[in-house]
Amino acid sequence: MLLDVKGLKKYFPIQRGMLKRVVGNVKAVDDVSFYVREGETLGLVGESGCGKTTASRAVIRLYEPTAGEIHFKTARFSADGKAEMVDVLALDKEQMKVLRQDISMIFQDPIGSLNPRMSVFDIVAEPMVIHGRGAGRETEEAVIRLLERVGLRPEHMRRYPHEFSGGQRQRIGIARALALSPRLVFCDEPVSALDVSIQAQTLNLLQDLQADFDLSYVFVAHDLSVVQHISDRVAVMYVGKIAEMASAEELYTYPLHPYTEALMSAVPKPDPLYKSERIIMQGDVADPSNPPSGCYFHPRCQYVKDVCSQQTPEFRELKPDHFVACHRADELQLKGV
Amino acid sequence: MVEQEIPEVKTAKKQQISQNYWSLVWWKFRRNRLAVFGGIMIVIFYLVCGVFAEFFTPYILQYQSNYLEARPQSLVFKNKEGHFSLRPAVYGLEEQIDMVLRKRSYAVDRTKIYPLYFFVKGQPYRLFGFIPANVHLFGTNPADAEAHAFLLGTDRLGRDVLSRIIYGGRLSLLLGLIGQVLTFVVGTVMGVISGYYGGTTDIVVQRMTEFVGAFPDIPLFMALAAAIPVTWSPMLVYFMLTLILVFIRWGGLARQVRGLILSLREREYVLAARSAGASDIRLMFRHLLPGTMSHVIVIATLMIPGMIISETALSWLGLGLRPPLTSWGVLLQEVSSVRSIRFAPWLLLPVPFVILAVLSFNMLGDGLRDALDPYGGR
Amino acid sequence: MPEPLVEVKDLKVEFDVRDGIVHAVDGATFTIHRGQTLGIIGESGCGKSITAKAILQMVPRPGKITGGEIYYYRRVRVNGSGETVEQVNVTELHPDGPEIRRIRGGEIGMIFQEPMSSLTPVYTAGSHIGEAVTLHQLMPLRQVGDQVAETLQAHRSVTKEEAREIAIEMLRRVSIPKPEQRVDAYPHQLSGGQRQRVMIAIALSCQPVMLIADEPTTALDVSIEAQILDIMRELQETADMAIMFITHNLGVIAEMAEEICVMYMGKVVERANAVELFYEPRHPYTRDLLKSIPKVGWKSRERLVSIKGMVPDPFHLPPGCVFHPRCPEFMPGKCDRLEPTWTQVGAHHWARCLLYEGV
Repeated sequence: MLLDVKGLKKYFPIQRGMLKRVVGNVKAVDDVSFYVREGETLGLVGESGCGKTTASRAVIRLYEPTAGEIHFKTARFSADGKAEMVDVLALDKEQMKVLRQDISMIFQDPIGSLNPRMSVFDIVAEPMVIHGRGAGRETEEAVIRLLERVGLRPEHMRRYPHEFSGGQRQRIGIARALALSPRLVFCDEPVSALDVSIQAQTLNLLQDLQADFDLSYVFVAHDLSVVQHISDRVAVMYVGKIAEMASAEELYTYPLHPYTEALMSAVPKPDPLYKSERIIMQGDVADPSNPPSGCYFHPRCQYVKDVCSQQTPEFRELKPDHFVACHRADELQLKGV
Repeated sequence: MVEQEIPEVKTAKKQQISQNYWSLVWWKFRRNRLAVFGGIMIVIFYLVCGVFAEFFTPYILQYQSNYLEARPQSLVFKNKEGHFSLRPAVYGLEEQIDMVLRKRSYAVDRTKIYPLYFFVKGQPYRLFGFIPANVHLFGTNPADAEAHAFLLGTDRLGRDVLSRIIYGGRLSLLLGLIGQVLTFVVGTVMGVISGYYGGTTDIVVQRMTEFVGAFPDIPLFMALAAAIPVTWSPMLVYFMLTLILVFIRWGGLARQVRGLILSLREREYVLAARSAGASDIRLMFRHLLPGTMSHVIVIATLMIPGMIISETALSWLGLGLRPPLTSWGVLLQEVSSVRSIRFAPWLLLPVPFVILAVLSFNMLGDGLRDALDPYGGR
Repeated sequence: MPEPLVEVKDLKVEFDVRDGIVHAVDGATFTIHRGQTLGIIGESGCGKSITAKAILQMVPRPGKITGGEIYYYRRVRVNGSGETVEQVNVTELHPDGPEIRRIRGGEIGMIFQEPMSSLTPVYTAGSHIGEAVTLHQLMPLRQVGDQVAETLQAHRSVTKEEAREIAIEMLRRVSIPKPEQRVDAYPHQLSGGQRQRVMIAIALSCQPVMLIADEPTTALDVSIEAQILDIMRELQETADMAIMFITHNLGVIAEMAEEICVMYMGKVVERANAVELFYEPRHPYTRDLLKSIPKVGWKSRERLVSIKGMVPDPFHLPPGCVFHPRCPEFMPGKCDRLEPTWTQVGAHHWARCLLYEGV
């Protein structure tokens, strides 16, 4: 186990009026629990407002979590150099900085994630500079190696982000994320802004890097097919909660949550002969600042019963390594893809 | 291994040299004729008035001639004999006394022609305050005691208006520049801190700027200027006035910077730096501040004319600089009655200079604004 | 075989920019038939959006149609009971003239990617507003019902009250809950999916014979996308309307289109029925594109096939076939010297590739 998150919550207060009174909360992440094992990829998938981006940022404390427990396995704080599970939320600023060498993030927007005033060299070397390893020939060689590894050339070091295409900028972002040889990389929608053919290149690159550098990924995306392709296990999020979490294959063959079933059926399949009954979810995605009572999905669920609007379902392990939050999960027979 | 061939970098520009932000800015700036013109004018202003005023003026600041409120002498191209010559010269002045109006005035005396010479050895001065010199750009023949060239006329005390305008520009322009630099530093730092930290710090700084900004300009300036002891030396007064202007102005700049910082704070590259463990200082000064520079430079440049006009107006009102300090505003102070304007309108000639300086800064500022967005709207 | 509705023949659109001329569309040919859905698929920069805009003479400056023809076949009621078909040459119509305005919105409708998701300053004064009204985009300062009614009144002679009734009915048909209330809402009060449905309602309110949909669901969540696609299909059936569906999403186009054109760098490189395109793609670009997408339900953790290299610089196009530097079937000496022509490779299947030319 590399990362263990329990009961993570991140609420954003809604303030009204001159005195900024708190009238409510946007429950962006509401009691989310998941884990990542060493060397594996966990996919976090969901539609807009589901909290997947907020959750990943909260885990690395870019946003301070409102509640929850986060444990990460690292050797950086142990006297004997052996890796142990460290309570991330208990770390102070200095310690957190040390920990950040083990966890890094790749961002979605190829334009916004690179500082346009900095050269590629500065961008990729910055993590090293921050941690005091940023000077001299060694750094330059390290940057060259990173750039070559992601498919760019050493002379690109002196150029500026605006001179590159979207796919190349993403590679620069990937090189930056690998600068300190992390153990875990959060990939926040890294291919969503790219063309289809560049997506494939980038996904292949991420898989190659995972093998070469022994990385673990948390892969956040809204595209189910991409997530399924690259992930070992997948967690499906809806309005701040995890609806279901299981291995990729299990999820797509034997889903247990009606949302998962409906989501998979809604994804357009690139096969004109694929005919199946589409489950069309009615209504809009729920609003995280004013979610429905009980189970958040109940207004759109075709299997809804009374209990669904009254009680929030518990997130439990129904089958080995297969978690679901649904009152009726035991009885329903859902269709996979 | 990455399978596909290594991709080519987009060759959008004609040159293969890498173009960083500032070289792109420079290229775009150069294409804007008006802006370049404005820039050149400003450089000329600061060189002529600011640094080498003693050289460019025909007469030193304190010189009082016997020609009181003399009209400007027009330039002609004749030599002493009256024949055409390439060397410029001026007609002399003849004193006339009007007994009815009890006024002395001067008329053009075409019998006297004073040629102008360049790089003349005229009245001695000290360059930069300590290097003794006496070369002036132009002037009349130093051997001829009677020769005089007041191209823009003289004032009540017989002082050459052209020289006084150039010397006046020194104080006015320098005050504008120094004042703006100080405002820039204070406003930017406060704005960055306020925008980055938010919370209480932000609220405190905000209230400070609002408090100062809510005061009406002139009474505030009057009050502060009046508080300066009369006994202070002129330089100290000058310094204090600069500080007062900065005090009034920094809030506006800080507020603008704060707004920019608030929008930049959530950019993904800032988050990326945070996720790598960057310290607050690093985030503020390596990532956020450079991102605001393009806007802030424009704002700061466009604030300088305001400073110049403020000083001019306030000094003219008697609230700012006073003689013996000479600025454009002080020069205009001496033109405070209808009588002066009617009989010696050339005393208003500082005004076109002010206008030209202000316009030049505006053109420069506009050009900077266009150039500092070289990506075209990114 | 249903009759043709819009015919595009060898369309060429150029953009004259400072660095040179961009051939945004370089010889596109296809036909849309009545009641049929034609899909145009391609990646960014392939020219599919410009092609769609050209059909309604809406190519933005500095672009210009520089070649080819677009024909629109209008059914005209002849006095009495008969009907003839009138051929309108769209390429010859003036972009601001009354004929094209009659077609836009009244006979051919168009919907776009969700307009308010990017909050662009499209809604500033002057020409943009005019264009927005012409394009039936949602304006943020006017109530939804008013905007639907305005379109109606522009093309049909109805009174204000009738227009409002029709507007409410249209909102109901696109499944907007409580349409009587929503008709008075402002666009920012609706969600993205609802706004898109309103756009469809506006586009369909005048019962056009064709709808051009340019990436209509790209900015929407998957569950909402499914709803929108469903509505479009249903409305197509009831109104016998043709759809020209433009997207980069292969899954969406497989669901919606009967016939598909694949575009690359301004050219149509392949055209076929949907089934044949997906199961027997002929052009190497199409083949690789299909192999490069991850598919839900497929067991994979292997590497995706990816198209090597990158889209070329529009000012430095490679000689010969524009795809040859990235083509796995590259034939040296041929593909870098000769430009492929449009060849028939099946009963209803064309491709632009030297592999199929008898060269």
